[in-house]
Amino acid sequence: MAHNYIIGLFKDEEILIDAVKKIRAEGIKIHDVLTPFPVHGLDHAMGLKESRLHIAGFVYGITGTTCALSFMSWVFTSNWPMIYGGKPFFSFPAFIPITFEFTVLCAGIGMTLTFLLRCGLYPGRNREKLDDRITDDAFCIVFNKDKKLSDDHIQKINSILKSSGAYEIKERQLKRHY
Amino acid sequence: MLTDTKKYVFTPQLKLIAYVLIALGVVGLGYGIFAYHGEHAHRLWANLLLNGVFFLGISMAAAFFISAHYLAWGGWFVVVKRIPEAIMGYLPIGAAILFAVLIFGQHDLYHWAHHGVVEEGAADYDPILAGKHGYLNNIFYYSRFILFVGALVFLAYLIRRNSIDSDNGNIADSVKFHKKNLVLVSIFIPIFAVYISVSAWDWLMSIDPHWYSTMYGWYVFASFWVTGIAVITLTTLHVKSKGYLKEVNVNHLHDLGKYMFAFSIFWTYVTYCQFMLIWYANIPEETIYFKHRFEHYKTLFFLVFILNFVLPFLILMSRDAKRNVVSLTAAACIIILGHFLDFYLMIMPGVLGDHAGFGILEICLPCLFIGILILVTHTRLGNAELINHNHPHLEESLHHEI
Repeated sequence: MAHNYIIGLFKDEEILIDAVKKIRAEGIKIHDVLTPFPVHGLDHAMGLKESRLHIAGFVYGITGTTCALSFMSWVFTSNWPMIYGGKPFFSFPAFIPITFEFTVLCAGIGMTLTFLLRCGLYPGRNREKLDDRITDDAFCIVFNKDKKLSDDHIQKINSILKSSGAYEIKERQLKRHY
Repeated sequence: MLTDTKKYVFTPQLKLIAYVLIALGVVGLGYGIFAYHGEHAHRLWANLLLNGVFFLGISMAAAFFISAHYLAWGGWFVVVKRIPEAIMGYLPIGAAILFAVLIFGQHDLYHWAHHGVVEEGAADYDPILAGKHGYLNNIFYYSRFILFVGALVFLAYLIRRNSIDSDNGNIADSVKFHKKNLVLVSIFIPIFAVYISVSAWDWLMSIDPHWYSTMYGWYVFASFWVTGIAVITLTTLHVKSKGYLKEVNVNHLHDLGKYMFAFSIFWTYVTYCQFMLIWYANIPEETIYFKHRFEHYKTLFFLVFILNFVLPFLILMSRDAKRNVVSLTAAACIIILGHFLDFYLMIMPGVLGDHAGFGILEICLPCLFIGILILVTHTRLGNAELINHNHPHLEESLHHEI
């Protein structure tokens, strides 16, 4: 099934934020905004909810801590106990650096993979571009035409985008969901 | 632009609290002089050293806060800048108090300062201390203090004066003062960097003169720094709660919270590194330091770890907690208490062996220093405008958003 999108391209982030605010004030849902660099205040203007990525990070970290500690404890106390420098088998202080490193490793890699997956950037995925210029210098507001956008809404979108300084407005049809 | 330039008023209520604290402290000090004299004078001097070092460290950290942010061309801190500047006011007083303690308490605090230890043939001759005599001798010891602390106090005074002068002129003049301050802080930072290690050896590590650790300087610095930030945060929150500093919003508080969170972890990292390497190598002359503290002060040993790492780590972990007044206040209070106990654990076992206690002296004496700190800080806050309105980076600070 084909998916339809409306996109407005901007040259500057200031007018982009103004446009986003005006559109949201009209009660129209913005699907996404694409920018060449992080724009200050855009998250707030779009009304984005706080990312849950850090919760995932916490879970990965705790997993790492538990795995490292339990594995080392098991190895050095029951599986293959050895005496190092006269220390007891369960020498907890010596486990801490490895536990710390493994926690960071798990949290780091886990968060990166989660982020890539959530963005749909797994290997083999070939994304269609909405427009070539968004990979260069264009700021872009995307609307999902299939979702609850009446003709009235589409007219309003067009007029607001035009009045707030979009240099191009067009519709795109993608084969897969954006 | 600044909309509100209301002057800070040191309220009589707060002044009264400060005076009550000072009175309580003086009573405690009097009790200490009365109760611990002669052979027991160790305990009095150990307490004076503990408080002298702890509170001087806080004001040194405040001066370092200003310097580090100037040097890094920081912008966000401009609206809270006058708070550490005010805390810096304690520097000369704290330096004088500590210098007096180091002079008059030297015999009771430092074994290396005894006459016989370096004289061959004397009854208490100590070859190890005789070997360290080149560094641990009175002339070098006191000249280090006067030279370095004198330089830090003088530079902090100049930085503060330039900051106030910049408010009185126009913007163009203030850039001139800003550049002057940039030069001053670039002199301040290297001196501070060297002396923060040297001071840790001189004031604290030489209590156990046979023992040494190369991590010790960092360990003490981490304590000073995180406590200093906690005090800055608490003062900011207090001043803000009285209706001043409306420009300080959650974004600035978030940054202070991040500092407390990050440097609590840094303190743990350094402390743990020091502990683990000594534990691992297991050399008797090194382990003696921890053996002593672990055997006789076990509760405190773990309490310090919980107060300085576990609680701040858990309380300040989330973004919302760093932007919330209640959790910030709680974390700051816990950090200040925890690091006070940390210094207690550095000093007391060395001076008093296993006879250290918590009595009237231990509880009242910090009140004296807190009272002085409140008095100095808030008098200074009232002396100048609460926000350096001509600072070149003010606009950046007002629009700070994270």
